Amino acid sequence: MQRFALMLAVVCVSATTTALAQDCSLSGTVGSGGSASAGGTSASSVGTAGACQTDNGTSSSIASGGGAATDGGKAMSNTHVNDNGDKLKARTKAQAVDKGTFSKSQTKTTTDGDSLESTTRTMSHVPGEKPVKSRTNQTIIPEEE
Amino acid sequence: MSIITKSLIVAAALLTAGHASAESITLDDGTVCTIIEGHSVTGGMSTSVTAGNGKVTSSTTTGQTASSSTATSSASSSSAGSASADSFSTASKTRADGSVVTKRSDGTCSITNPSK
Repeated sequence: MQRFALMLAVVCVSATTTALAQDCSLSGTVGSGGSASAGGTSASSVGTAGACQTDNGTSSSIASGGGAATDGGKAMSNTHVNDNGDKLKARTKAQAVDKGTFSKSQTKTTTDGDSLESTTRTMSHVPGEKPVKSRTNQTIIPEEE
Repeated sequence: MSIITKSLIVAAALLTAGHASAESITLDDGTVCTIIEGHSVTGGMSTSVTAGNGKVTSSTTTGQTASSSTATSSASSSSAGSASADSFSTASKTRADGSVVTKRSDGTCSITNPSK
C-alpha cells in the first residue's frame, strides 16, 4: 500500500519595543522562498521579515514556514524562531526522502531592527544524477538616505 | 518554484501597487526600476513570498497601522514528479520621500511613489 507523508511547519513572531502607533521613519521587508522536487519527493520553504523604525523604537516581525511530501518515504519539516528582544531569527527546514531520492529546502531569515536578511537554499537529488541546487538571498539595511 | 509562480508574484505586486507607467530609472547599483505612480503608501509595506508551485506562502506586513507591525503566515504542500530546485527572494525599502523600492531575485525592480 502506498504511503503518503506530509509535514508542515509554520511560525510567525513579532517583537515591538514601542507602545505608540506612529509613522515609520524607516522601514524595510525581505523575503525568500524555494522549492525542490525529485521523483516522488517535494520540499519547500519560505521566510519573511520586516522592520519599522520610529522615534520611540523599532518594531520587527518575522514569519517562516515550509512543507515536505513524499509518496513512499519520509518527510519532515520544522521551523524554529529565536526571539531575543528586537532580534528575531527564523529557520525552516523541510526535507522529503524516498530511498536515495530526496528534496530539501531551507530558509533562514533574520532581523535585528537595523538590517534584514533572508536566504533560501534548495536541493534535489536522484541516484545516478547530478544534484540540482538553488540559492537566493536578500539583505537590506534601511539606513537613512 | 516555477516561472509561472514567479510571474504571478510579480504580477500581484504590480496589481497591488496600481497602474505601471513606462518611465524607468537606474539605481546606483545598475538595477533598472519601473516607476509606479498613484499608489498610496499610508499603510506601511509588505513582502510576500511563495514557494512550492504557489502552495506555500509567507507574508510580512510592516507599517504604521494600529499595532505598528503584524506578521501572518500560512502553508500547505504538494509533490511533483520531475527533479527541480528553484528559489525566489524579494526586498523592499521605504525611502525618505515615501517611495518604496522593491527588488526581486528574478531581476525585476519597481519604485512605488506615494499618492499626492
